[in-house]
Amino acid sequence: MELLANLALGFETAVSPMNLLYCLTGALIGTLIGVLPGIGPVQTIAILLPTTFALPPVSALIMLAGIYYGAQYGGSTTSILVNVPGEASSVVTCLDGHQMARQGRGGTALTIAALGSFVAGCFATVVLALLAVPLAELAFRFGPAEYVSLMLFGLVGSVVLASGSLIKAVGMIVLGLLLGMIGTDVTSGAHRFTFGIPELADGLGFVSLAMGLFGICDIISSLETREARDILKARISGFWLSRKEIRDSAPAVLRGTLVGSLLGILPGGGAILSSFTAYMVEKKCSREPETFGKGNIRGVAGPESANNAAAQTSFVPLLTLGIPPNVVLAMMAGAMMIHGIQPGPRVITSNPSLFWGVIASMWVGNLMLVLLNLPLIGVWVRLLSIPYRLLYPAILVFCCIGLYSVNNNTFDIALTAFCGLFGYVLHKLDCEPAPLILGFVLGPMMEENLRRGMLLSRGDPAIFFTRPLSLLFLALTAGLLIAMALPGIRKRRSRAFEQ
Amino acid sequence: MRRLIGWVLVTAIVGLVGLPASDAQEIKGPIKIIVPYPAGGGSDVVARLIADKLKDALGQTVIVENKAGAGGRIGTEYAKGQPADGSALLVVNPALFVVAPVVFSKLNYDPETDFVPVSVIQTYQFCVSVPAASPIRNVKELIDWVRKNPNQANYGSPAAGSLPHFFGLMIAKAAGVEMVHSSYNGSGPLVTALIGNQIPIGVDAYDAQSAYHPEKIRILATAGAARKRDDIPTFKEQGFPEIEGVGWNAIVAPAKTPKPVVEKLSQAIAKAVQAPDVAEKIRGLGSDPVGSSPEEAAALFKKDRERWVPIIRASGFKAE
Amino acid sequence: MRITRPKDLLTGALFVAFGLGAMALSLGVHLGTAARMGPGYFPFALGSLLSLLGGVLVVRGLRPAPARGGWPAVNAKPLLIVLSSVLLFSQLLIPLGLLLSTALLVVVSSLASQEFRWRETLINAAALVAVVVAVFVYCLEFPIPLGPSFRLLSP
Repeated sequence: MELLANLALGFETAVSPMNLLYCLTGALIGTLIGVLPGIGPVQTIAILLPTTFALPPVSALIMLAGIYYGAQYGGSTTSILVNVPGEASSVVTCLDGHQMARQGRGGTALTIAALGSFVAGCFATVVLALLAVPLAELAFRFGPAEYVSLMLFGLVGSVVLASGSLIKAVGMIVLGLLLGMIGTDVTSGAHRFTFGIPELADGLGFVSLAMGLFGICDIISSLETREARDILKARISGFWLSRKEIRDSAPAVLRGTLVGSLLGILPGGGAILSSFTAYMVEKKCSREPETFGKGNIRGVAGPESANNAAAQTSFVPLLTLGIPPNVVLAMMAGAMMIHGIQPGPRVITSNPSLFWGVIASMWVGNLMLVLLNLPLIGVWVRLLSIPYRLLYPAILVFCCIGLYSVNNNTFDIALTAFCGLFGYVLHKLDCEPAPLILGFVLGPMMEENLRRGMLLSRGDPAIFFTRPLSLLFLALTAGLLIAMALPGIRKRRSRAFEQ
Repeated sequence: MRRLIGWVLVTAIVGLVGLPASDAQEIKGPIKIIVPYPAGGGSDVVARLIADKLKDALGQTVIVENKAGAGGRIGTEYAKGQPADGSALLVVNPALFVVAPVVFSKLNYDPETDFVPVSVIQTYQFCVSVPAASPIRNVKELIDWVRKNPNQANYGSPAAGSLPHFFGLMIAKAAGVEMVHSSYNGSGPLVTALIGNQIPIGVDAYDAQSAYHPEKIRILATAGAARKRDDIPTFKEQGFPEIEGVGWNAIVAPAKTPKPVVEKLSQAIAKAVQAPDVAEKIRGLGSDPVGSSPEEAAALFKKDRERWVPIIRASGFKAE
Repeated sequence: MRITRPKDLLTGALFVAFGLGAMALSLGVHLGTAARMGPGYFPFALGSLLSLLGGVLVVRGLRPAPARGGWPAVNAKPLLIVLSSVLLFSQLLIPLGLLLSTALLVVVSSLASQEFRWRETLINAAALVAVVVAVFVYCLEFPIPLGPSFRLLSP
């Protein structure tokens, strides 16, 4: 009952005409910057932050939150249409989403991404409203041992992101882990693999790497095969889902939502792991795992739902504990403090209309985004009918300017060219870049926690086996390894399914 | 004739170049405040608050330029090469001006010769804290506990080579004990680990820890000369007068910026920082607004060098 | 010895090169012990693992089993043109400003297409410059220099 009263208070705040307007503004700006490759919510929120000082705190937060999840929607658009992932979570969307676009099913992919995100957003909002406080406790159970085991599980699992050779996939993960080591070591502050280049002291930029391996490499290889693009554009289907597609993707959306809602709460790796994990779940559950990576709609539906759910539940640690789990939310915490609101456990009691207003506005924002994006899909898909010789210079222009704006630094642009060359070599050798990206993102976190764990236990590796949660992840990892090492088991089982 | 034209041109050019020099206090806009960190961080927010006020005070466009990279060193080096006419300012902190010169063998700037101090924006206190579940209640109990449990005596700081990292060493040295340092990737993860009882001791800026007191984190002491909060005693009060330290954000300008220009900017910045609404917001961030003169800023830089450099040297910490 | 799977062999060589390189560079920084790992410990371990995987791939590429897959075919023209257009943009953005360097990026990268036409490309460049200015400069107000900067000329 109290929940209903709280939600009523929230909606009362969220649907005031002024707040609706800010919500819409935020969602619009977010979609725009999400669609522009390279420009993420971080820079945009930073630039818009001073303009929100003048607004009432609830409106400011509603607008900033709108930018954040608007960018998630927009980000999937570029991943699907032009194979340029803006952030780690949309790398997975590229795998099947872009393949769908190449098959002329770009509209369908965008629709399922939008609908999946909406369903996930609705669910995550309820989760946030009901379980915010108990869920927040989950994050505290994660010490160094738990993080290491969870990441190990994620890394081993990410082998399924690749459809080719197993050894190559494992090698790509390790290569990604190594690339993640470039820069300043968190534990000791020492510089590694920087070759004396000061710009590398902060590590290889994620945007540079992802854009090089996916976007630039894709352009180069498309130019090698001239006809590929122009044949495809001839048969772009509509964007509504067929009954079969709905039946296929509905369970994927639900699974993705669950995975995302849970993992989103973990600070740091959670949101990134969510879309990768959702993809892994889909491929493992599927009776035809070989169709993944070739335009399977479930490969879009699951991860897209997961990343939106995670974006939403990542507010849990911020709103209930005041701990921002990622950079975007750190800026929101800054915005709250500027308004004299100390983010933390007291927000719920001292500022109920703010807490519930922001939660309610998330639902409203998601509704707006879906209404906004469905009609836009037609426009986006039409972009693909632009002759490729005119389209790819435009992609390059937006990528380059976006890259510059990340740090106001031209070094990142040059770096992307090198990553493009690297991506091209990998592409020619049939090495798939997605596992590399996951290794790259998780590498530094995994090392940091491994070293902390060993340091705190004074060198006793038992901590990884004696803590129950950590043991659970290790057992899951072992199970996964056995399943992979004995492919016969799976074959037999899939035959059993068919009978 | 040709010569005459030449002279006319030369005079004209000299005149044009000389004109601004004759009235050095006029600052050629737009003024940019360089923040050597990504947008949205603590120093960025403060810079934007001040930029907003300076705009009206100086009648110039004031923009904030984020030049992030290498823990702030890229932006600092970039600021060094900017025109020294008051149109370029830089936000700095102890990591860049006190720690970096000691721990980096190749540093592309010298805080003392490449920059002149303009004004200290704000200071913030350090504190030591333990999880709420911990039996430790004050600094003395903390030191006893460290002595009895050398195998668990770990403290976390928000970053390797940050002032809190060395502040932890300062505590250990003053008490004659040893603690193992574990650096986290920022205050957020450190606080999470403290609340979850994953690490027994945390050393950080007070504002990063204060939000949870006393339900989740117990702050044992703050490190300023006076109490930051009425119910938390300082180290001095608990018998450790040598444990003292504050962090700060300050604004500096390239070294050759003329003195009158520095004075003018300093006054304008001090006024901006002390404006009630800005001061209120800085307090909201958990730190204390200052707005000092260039001389006071120089004195603070000097004092902090004397305080920290021996500790940093003794720790043997090297970044490269 | 016959190369049966060239792509495996090349990938293996790439992995071994990266692995050994990482190991060599890790030795340059402090390795430490398992209890107190230095910054070189984890990368050294990863480097050895990667070299090992690379070694397996090299062997697989040479084993006498039926040949699979040919040598990768490389078309250097789009590769070189696209990459150099991006590099060019990165070097020219600050001295030349957004307008000129964007136009150059469009023109140079367009050369990579087999259907390159001057008129069309110039129109495309002009249109993209207009869009970029509208979006980045007027809508998002990013601090990017528009025109050439003459700071080089003044003292």
